[in-house]
Amino acid sequence: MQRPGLLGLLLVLSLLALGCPIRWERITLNHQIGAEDVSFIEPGRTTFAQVLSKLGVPDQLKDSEIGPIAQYDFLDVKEFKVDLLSGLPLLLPAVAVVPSSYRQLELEGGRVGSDHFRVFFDSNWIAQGYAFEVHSRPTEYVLWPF
Amino acid sequence: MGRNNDSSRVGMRVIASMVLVTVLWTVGTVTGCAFVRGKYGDQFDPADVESIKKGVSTRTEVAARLGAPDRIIEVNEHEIFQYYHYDMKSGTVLFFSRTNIKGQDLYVFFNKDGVVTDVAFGKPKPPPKFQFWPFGD
Repeated sequence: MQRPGLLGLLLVLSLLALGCPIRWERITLNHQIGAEDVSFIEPGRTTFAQVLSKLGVPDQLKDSEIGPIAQYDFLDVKEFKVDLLSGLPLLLPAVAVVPSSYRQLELEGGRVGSDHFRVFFDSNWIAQGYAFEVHSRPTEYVLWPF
Repeated sequence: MGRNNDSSRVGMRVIASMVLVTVLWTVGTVTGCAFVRGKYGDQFDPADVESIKKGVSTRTEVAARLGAPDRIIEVNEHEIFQYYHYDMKSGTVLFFSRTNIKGQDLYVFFNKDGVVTDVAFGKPKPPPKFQFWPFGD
């Protein structure tokens, strides 16, 4: 292998061995529920059983003064991380004696998606309404957090 | 002469292949590639759930069959046993990491006498996938 290629390969390997200075991470909890998934709910008519058959068993059941609340939890987190100082020990080997957690300069950026959908029932388990708690913009990776 | 050149090229290809395999293996092991699976709670056995009879089974029988509930809640004047189970699969390869988590819940409703009035148990969700590519769906 030619020397520049070998040096480049060693550089890449060394950077990777320092613990992945760049990372795209994603965490997904359950399936996303969208407006079209819940359009079948008709306040005053749709029953608890019908909601269960379409959306599945809720993640939480809560009580309220009006009646029960079925809550579905879902989450989509996208995050981009880069450690700008991860290559420092390659330039200044003495720095390697400092624990890595003390020589990090991380930029992190990302966005969390909407995370709850709730159906409100009356005491007879008839849906009276529904709501998304936070219907934020779509999740996305953010390379520059400023 | 030509035969020497051919054998030299083959030798170079073998060396290049070995270097590539070594690099991939090193990258794969040194950078912390990982596939992790975690579970919280026991998966529900449909036979256990079907054994719960509305109007017949009692609180004690349900607890004996399914174990102690993860939560006991009171909703709409019903005492409810909630059981839940989480399945997590996570993959990390090089710069990419993806974690998928799915939850499954079971609710058993009781009346004031401690007898089952309803069971909410949907069809099991498909298990989460092992993925490491964090883009797309």
